[in-house]
Amino acid sequence: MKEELITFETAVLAKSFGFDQNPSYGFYEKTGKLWWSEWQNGKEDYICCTQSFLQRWLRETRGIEVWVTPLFNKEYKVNWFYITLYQHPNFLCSYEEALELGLYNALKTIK
Amino acid sequence: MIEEELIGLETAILAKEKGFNERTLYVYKETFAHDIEDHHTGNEYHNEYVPPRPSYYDYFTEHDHEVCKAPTQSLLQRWLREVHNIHCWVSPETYLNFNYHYFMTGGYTHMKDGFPTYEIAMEEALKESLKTLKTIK
Repeated sequence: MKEELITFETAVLAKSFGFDQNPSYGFYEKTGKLWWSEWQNGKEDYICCTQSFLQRWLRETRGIEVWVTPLFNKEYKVNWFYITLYQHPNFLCSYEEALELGLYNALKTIK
Repeated sequence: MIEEELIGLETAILAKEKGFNERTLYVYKETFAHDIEDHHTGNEYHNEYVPPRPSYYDYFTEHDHEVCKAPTQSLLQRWLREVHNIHCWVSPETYLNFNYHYFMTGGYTHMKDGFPTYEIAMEEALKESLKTLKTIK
């Protein structure tokens, strides 16, 4: 059992939004290959971290809460999970910005 | 500086009692460095970084003074979910005062609110979840 790391795609997206915290897990190079060494702030490298680390970064720097809730069936077994996104009001400036964030995230969930 | 949140010593000892023995980057070790003191026993502990390479890891885990593993909150949360089918999670009280509450489910659902931070709520959730497990001798 191990910590779940973010994928290359998520790492690229995180960097585009200013994610620059280095938890020393390693980094992805632009081909998507994961290197287990210290990130050297390369322009075409992307920080790799655990899912929970990025979750904390979103919470503490952007005020965005992401959490996962299990769904139970009649036998009280967990079949599915769903995600919830929530942004603290003090991080928002206007209705439009809030809605933009919601729309952006909603679109990103479509496969 | 954002860091991974390790579970506290009390929770770590509880996790060990309940059978948690996964590989972790950190361990709690008995020390003379006066870093952490267990108020129940008066013993002193600190958590020590274990480099993520097997050879170093083996060296450290064979060390006599290791007290217990110091996993991140998320790893212990995963262990509870995958090994014991206990789900615990934390979410903000969005319509109240922006504190946090936790939920845990494992045969029954338990919820508690009023925690000032996500990490404090999660620590409490993990501890309560562990308490529902049988102690492994």
